[in-house]
Amino acid sequence: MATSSLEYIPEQQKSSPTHISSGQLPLDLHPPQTVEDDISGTQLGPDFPYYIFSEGNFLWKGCVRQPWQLMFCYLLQHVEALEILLQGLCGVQRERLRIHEICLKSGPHLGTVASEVRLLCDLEQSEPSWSVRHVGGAMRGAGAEQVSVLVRSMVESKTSKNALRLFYALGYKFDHELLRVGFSFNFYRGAQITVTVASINKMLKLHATDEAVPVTLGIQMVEVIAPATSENYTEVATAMSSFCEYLAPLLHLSKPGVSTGVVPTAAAAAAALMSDGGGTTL
Amino acid sequence: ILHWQPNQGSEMNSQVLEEISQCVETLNGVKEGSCKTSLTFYKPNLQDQSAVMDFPRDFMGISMPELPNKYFLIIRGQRIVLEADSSILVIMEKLQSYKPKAILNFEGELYKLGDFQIRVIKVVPHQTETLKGIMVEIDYLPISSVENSKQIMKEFIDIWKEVVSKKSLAGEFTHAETNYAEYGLGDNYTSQHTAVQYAAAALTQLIQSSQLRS
Repeated sequence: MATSSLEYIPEQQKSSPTHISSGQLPLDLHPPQTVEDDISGTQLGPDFPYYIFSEGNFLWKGCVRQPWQLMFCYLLQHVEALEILLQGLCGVQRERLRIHEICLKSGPHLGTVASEVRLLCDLEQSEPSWSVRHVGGAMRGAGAEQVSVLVRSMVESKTSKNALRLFYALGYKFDHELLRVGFSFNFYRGAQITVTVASINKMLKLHATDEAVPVTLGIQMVEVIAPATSENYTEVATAMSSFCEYLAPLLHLSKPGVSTGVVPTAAAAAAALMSDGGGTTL
Repeated sequence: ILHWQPNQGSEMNSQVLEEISQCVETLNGVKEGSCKTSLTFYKPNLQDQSAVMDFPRDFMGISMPELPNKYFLIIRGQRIVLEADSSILVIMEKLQSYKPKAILNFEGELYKLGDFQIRVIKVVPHQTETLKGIMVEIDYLPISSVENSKQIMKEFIDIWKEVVSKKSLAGEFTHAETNYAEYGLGDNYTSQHTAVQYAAAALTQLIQSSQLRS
């Protein structure tokens, strides 16, 4: 199944504690390291699903044998209200989320260029389950200019539990780790969409997930993810954007560098949602 | 897994393979099909070749025909085995930290003998026809417990060795016990156990090939 996600980081509002700029985002979202990651102009076949990430209004996608990820990311205060809104929109039960993400970088000498790999451990299951994820570079060039989004590749593989030991043995070194705690909704609305709302937490001691604290207190990240392929990614992007508009009472999308400000009526909208449990039509 | 150990000075050739297949048929083994397991040896992609000793030299990847969506990674010296989705190969390609160095194919003919399955396997370097080794893989289907199946496996192996010895071939089958616990594997036999055995077989094969040459 392909997934696409639209990631958005709003411009900092100095007066508002609920917004932080992309520069302060407590995630390792960073520009690609290598020229070889540039896949602009690549001929993308129908068999190749994509990953799309967006920063602000940027989508990152790449041609890999993995689903797309359009990540929509917003740091907001009104989590409970958002949950009520999502419950109403999605019509499905929320699922709890607790993911330990360990980022490893290649040690000295290994590889002609440095590489980075992420290990994810799903702690919500009765038996922790692991996967390995590689996030590649952003698409550049004329194709990238034409879309109002950045595009990046991503590949994920489920693994048995020895992944960390294996990568350490191969010469990868620990770089950083974080714990995402929150919830997600998975539903169909023009595309198979997953919305995740989670706090980003850091561990005070190595791998001590029981002692994690929020990177920024009171801030949550929203990710909107939907599957896509090279054939249908524009339709998926449209479906996702349409869905994201329903979230507009509480948060909305913009390009990085273009200030959107706080949604002026967010507090009022949140209050309305909280008071009548989602019965309000926004 | 049993390895064919040819006598010093004798050859590994398809005649021996044929004779061994006949042994299976002597035991009323019924041919059921073929299979091919591939094992890739990886080497680190280094900026500075002098650092090569800092990285594992026994890092292998295995794909099994009955599990097309899976790939197994093994570092034998450190007793690490990892079962992954086959997309791990795409990740490795993107990481560019390790590259394939050599590929061994284990091409087997599958026979059924009552509750046992035997694969008569020829070990062939990728894209060649050169027979580098012969193996026999024995499965006892009713029992998944490694411990509980030891006795019956031993009895079968004894019978097998006796049948083979009647052919007066210039060699014999050898068998090495694998300590699965060192890999963190339990008593219940899984494809990870198989991967560990194939990794051991590949290294035995390498040693054998270099001994034959010397």
